[in-house]
Amino acid sequence: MNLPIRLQWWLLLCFIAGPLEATTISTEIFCQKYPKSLGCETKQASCNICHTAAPSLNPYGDDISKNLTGNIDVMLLETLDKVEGLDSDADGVKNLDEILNAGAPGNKAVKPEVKVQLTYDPAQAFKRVKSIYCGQTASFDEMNTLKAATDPKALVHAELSKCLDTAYWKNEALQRLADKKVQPLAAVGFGGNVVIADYRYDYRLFSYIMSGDRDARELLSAQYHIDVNGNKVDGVIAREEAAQIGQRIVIGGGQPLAVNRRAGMMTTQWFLAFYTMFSVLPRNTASQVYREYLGMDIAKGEGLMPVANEPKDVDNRKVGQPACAVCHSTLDPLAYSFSTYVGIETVQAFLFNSNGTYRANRSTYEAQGQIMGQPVPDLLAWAEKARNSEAFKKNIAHMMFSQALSREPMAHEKAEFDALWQNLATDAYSVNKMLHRFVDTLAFGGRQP
Amino acid sequence: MKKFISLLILSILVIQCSSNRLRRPSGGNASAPGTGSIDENGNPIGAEDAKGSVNGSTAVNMPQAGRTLIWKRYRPLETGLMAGLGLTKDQLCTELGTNPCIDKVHLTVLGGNEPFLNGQYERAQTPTVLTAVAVDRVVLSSCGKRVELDRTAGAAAQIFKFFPLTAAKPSDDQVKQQATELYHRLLAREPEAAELDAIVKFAASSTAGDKIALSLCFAIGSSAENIFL
Repeated sequence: MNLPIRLQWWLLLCFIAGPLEATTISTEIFCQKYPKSLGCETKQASCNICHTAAPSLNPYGDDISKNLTGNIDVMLLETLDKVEGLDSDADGVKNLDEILNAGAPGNKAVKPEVKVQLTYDPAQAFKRVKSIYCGQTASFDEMNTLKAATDPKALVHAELSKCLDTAYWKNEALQRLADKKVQPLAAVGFGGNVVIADYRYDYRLFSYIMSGDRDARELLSAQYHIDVNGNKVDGVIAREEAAQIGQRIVIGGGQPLAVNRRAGMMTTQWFLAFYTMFSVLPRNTASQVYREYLGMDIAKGEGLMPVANEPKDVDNRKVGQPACAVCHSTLDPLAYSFSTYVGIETVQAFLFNSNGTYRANRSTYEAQGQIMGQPVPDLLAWAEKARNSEAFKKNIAHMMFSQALSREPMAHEKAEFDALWQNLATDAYSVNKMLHRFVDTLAFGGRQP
Repeated sequence: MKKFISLLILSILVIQCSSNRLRRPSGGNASAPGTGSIDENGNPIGAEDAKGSVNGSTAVNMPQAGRTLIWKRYRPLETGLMAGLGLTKDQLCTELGTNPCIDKVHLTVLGGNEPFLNGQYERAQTPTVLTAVAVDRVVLSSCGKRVELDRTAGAAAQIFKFFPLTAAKPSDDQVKQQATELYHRLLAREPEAAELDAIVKFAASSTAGDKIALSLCFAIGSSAENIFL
């Protein structure tokens, strides 16, 4: 293999150089120096401070990299001082001012929090409600009615209530919100050529829980499923299509997992089969729940909470190496609880529909799991910690905020955003109630006076 | 082709006029401060120009309002055209008469995603350069269908009923009435006097009733106000 000389040098440098990339220690150093920075509230500095998507650097990370003269864990403090006076993202605000005032030094779109003057415009809110939650355009008559109303906000809420009960919201908008969590693949789902499981259950369950004033925590606790007619089904569900191996291969379907082992979206047959597949230790499954339901993406270095003496490298993947252990000391303990759940099997699945079922003897380390620094004996306990965490609430609020506005909350919207997830418990974890609060915010209906 | 290009050029006049709704510092449903121009994402530019001082540092004293518009994605765009022009879903744009433009051919650039076959698990956060082309196609197709239906319906026309579509040239009042109807149906508001003046001037440059009808519909239906909220 002939590599260009420059590439050879670069590869060589990668091997011999000390750690120039960020580690959890780096983020701790950053947060100790700037405890009020965005991302440091929970002592987990967001990778976004320096990265666009790790390992790619944003302009602030790039400036740190250029000024770094040695091991990042040793030289970072000195380097942070050096770049304080720069304006890395060229947005007119110096890095230090951004860090101290809830801005983002490497993101031009996020500037320091300041007092802003916005006026709530019910007409704007109404049009947005119609579009986002009804999938419709507001009509001339509706806008005239709104204009004439003594309490236009009440009309906005009345319309929202109607929208949240429409087929559009429940069968289309909410289902598109589930895509990234479910990650369906027609070829191996119901009706496909090789059927490992039926993801239609996942969509129906997600939509059901996220609508109708239901408790959103059931996303990680439901022990029922929803049939094609929208009815709750308790108990094991047989596959709709008989097992077959011929022109098509059908080894999955229905919901075979024992009811007392279920924890909502994370234990459907599709979820376990698709994400675990043939893994002994289902790291992918655990990290998907962590990312999609708790908002922490380990691949981006988010939510790293290393557990002492981990990873044990139970499947001999050499994850104990320092560069791997940075993430695996969090990820592996997170995945232990999933290790007794079957992913994909072949003959067993064909005969007994075993994909996504529980098998106690599948591993010996199920009880050694940890999530967010807390030990858990099994996946049900794991799910309980997860769904009752602050991260879960924040993730629900973030999901609905970005679904509506297609963007992140801005610095001046932080208080409104925080109120959304902080009130979720008061609202019995109802997403509908949270959306009623949301459409009242200036983030949703505000505009320049 | 020639007809289409001239239609587009003429329509720009009206688009510019109706786009003023997005430029005014006050009033309108999506006002934007500053320069009033629109960036490639359809967001008004200018809010970031105004700066103040916080804790001795240079900072923005307004929200980044240029990023607060919402993209009206494929479904509300579709239902809005259906309701506004009195069309059914199968009367909207199709590719080669079979594949629906909105649900299939242009789904991604109109803000949707197809997870099952394409493995597209997320939708685009912002419009792309092709969004404008897709919107133009869908709106023009819908308008064309409505004009065709109303021409056939004659006196029973539903939308384009204020002047004969076969007429050589409608009067200014007829044009204003028709434009007002389209503003009601597509933008859910009354047109402003300046907008109607621009439309009348535009209509004076054309000679055929059906072309004026189509141009008005296209210009109003594809204006930024109908794409961003």
